[in-house]
Amino acid sequence: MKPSMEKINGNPNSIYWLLQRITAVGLLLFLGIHFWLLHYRNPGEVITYDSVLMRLRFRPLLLVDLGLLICGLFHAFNGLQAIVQDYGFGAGGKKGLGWILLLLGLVMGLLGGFALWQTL
Amino acid sequence: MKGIRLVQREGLDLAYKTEMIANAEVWRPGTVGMTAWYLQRITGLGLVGYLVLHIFLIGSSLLRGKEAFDRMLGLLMGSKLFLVLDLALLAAVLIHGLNGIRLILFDLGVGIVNQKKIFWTAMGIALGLFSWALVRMAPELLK
Repeated sequence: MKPSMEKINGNPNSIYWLLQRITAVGLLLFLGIHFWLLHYRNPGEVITYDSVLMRLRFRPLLLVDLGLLICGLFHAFNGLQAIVQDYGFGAGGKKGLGWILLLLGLVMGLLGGFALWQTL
Repeated sequence: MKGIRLVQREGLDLAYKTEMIANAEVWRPGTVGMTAWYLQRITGLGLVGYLVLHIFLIGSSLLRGKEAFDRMLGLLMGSKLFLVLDLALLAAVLIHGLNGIRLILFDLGVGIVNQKKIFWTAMGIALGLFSWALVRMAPELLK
């Protein structure tokens, strides 16, 4: 095996690479359902609080929204983290930005999670 | 994990075999591969911005209750500008998602030598799906 392959296969960060692919597949499915139901099944329909409650009362669709929240935020912020690696922020800067992105992602996740939870 | 490592290894082997394509054709400005890379990055950044705004606006108005939510959604969704932006969002999602499938194929070691054809096929499918959505949206846009 070539040394560079050894390095990539043994790199603990390759789990992020894998999770980026897994969440991508999740997004293709969940986002497809979300777009169809809320944007294109009934174009021009204004979504209301009551229609949201009714939709989320059907638990599989609550799981779709939860899946979207988790996959979307991970994919988005891990993607930003990957972009940060392409530029010259220095090792410390990259680490700092990584923590900021993690924090932002967690805050958005908590906000979305609470919003979904209080509709139960 | 063993299966996953095997896939990575095969993908890398193929990347080595096609090293000339990777270096000479893909990483050069103006080529199909580089255009795909830029498109993926630009749509990705746009989509992150949209996602943060979306979760913030929808999440916070959901938490504030029925009245606040209906007022916010009425304001956002009641305009034609929203429909146009909604179509722009769909375009970004289609480009990013379909090119993303192309990238996952490469990671699995499939189709790297045909990357240009796969790019144009993905963009063709994106255009087809977008046209279908545009036709569905047209009566609302022309109202």
